[in-house]
Amino acid sequence: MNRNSPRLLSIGCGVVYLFMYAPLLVLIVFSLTPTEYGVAWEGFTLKWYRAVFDNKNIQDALKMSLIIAIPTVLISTAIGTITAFTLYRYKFLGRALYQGALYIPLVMPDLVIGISLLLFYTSIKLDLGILTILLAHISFSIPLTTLVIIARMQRIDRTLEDAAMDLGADEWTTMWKVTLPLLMPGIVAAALLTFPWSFNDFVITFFVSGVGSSTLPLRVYSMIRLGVSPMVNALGTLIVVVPLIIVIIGTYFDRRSVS
Amino acid sequence: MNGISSVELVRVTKRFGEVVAVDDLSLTIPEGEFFSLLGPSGCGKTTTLRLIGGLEQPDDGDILINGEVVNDQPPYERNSNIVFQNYALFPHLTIEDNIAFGLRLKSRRVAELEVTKLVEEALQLVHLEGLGARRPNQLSGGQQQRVALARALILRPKVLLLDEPLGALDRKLRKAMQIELRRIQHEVNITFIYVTHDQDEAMSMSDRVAVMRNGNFEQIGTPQEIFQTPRTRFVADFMGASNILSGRVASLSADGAQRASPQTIQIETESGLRLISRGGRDMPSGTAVDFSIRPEAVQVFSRGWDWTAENKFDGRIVGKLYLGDVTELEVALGENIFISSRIQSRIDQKFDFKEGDQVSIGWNAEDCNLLSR
Repeated sequence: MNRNSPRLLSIGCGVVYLFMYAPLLVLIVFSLTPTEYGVAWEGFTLKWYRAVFDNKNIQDALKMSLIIAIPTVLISTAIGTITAFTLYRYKFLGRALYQGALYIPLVMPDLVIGISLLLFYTSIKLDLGILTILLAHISFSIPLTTLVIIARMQRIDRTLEDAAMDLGADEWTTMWKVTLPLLMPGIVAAALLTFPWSFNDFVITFFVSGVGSSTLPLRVYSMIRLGVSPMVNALGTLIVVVPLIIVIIGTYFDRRSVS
Repeated sequence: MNGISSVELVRVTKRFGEVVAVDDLSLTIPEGEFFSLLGPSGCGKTTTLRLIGGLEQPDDGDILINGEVVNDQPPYERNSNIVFQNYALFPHLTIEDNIAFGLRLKSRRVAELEVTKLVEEALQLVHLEGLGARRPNQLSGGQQQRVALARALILRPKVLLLDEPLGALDRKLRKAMQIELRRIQHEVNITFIYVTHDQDEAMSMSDRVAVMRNGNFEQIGTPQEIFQTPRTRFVADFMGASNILSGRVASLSADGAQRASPQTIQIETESGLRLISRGGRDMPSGTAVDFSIRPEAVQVFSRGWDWTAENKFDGRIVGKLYLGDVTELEVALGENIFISSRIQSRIDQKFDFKEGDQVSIGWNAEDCNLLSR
């Protein structure tokens, strides 16, 4: 290692971050200027944001996205908690298989998941719409929530549960008074990670949504097919920044360890 | 046993797969006793404790607390509480809430005012007044240990089970806590069952000690009995009686001249040493015996010093270890016999023993302890 290495390293690092965040910065910058088609800065304005909030289609799509995302978060976190608890706590036949099968969707291409879900829903004659989107989102979120909560669970000292039982708490009370409170940071983190996971999804949603059930990413897609309006920049900025804040809060909760 | 038995094990066995952790144990502990389970790791002492506490279920046999079979009672119904090795304090609760945890569950009708009062008393008992509002991670190891104790004692169990509670503390704190535990036990008058691998700890606190090995009791007795008259080679070794020899009974009363008194016998060791030992009255001549001699019972003097002992031999110092207040000398008696002696370091200084010195060593017949084979 010569003494230039740290400098080279920091330059390399800078380039990586530039490529990661410069496009976003460009997006944000052009969402704040009135230019209609060009790419030049012509002063500051919030008119595109106003346009976004005044647009009925976008409002409906946002509403749809929230109608999907919120139940997805609640249900997949609840199921993830129970799954994590079961997989971690009980030994049963085929446990490793169940656990492995749970993680496969995380590395499966969205395209494949989307197509297979579409085929599945069509074959069981389920009409495409809110219900199918919701089912799809819940099913691809459960692996995520389970993974996060199991990771948390592994950090809980088992003798704490022994101690609770020894002090007079039955299984149920032990779970409510000891296991769940200790698991809570993991549960909160899982919920906060699931929200953007569901909210941002495009590919899978694209396949399983019917007519009139567009989520926000689908709406943005159909908008840019008709030409890029700076309104999309404003919307894009909102879509990036709001979930980002949520993820940051989520990470904060997960870090706040009680181990 | 004149009192009521507090804890009783009747032929209890516990297996983990192929491993027999607790093997057909029977034991009766009277009320108010400080009883220790002593043994190396893996001997089954912690499993025995967890069986009594209900965290493990026996495969065979009965466990009785206060005369009642509790095999089918889950831990939360048993009149016993555990102080865990790692304390197992709830990290998400304050010290007060940790201590009140069992109390609030036990009697939901107890007024919160009463709970506060009892928690305050418990904190006083373990000298932690004023720390109730803190979290476990804000306390030192010794303080956490006291909280764990208070949390268990506040429920006034019939029996308190302690699983190496002092293991994580430093030496000085451990000494202080040993005295403290003994004081608390006298104060609350609850049966204590104490698991440890440290024989000093077991000796200093217990009314009785059970030495465990491979899921069995090797010996149960008062600390004095176990220390002075270990019954087996394992116990003798575990209690630090490092001189363990084998031999045969040389002669009995037929030859009165060989006997120093009716309570003693003469033994000839494998290597030809003849010595006098206490006990063994019923042993015919020729019986193979093992025996132990505690190092501190072995005296060492310079050759030619005028002194007497029932067993006295010439030897040569082959090793010397300074241990502070005592000094350990390794003395060779002939080719294959080595005897350890622990003498006061002051005496060592007086004689100025060095490796290679010719010395005479000896011990009395009563310091020879016959071991069962």
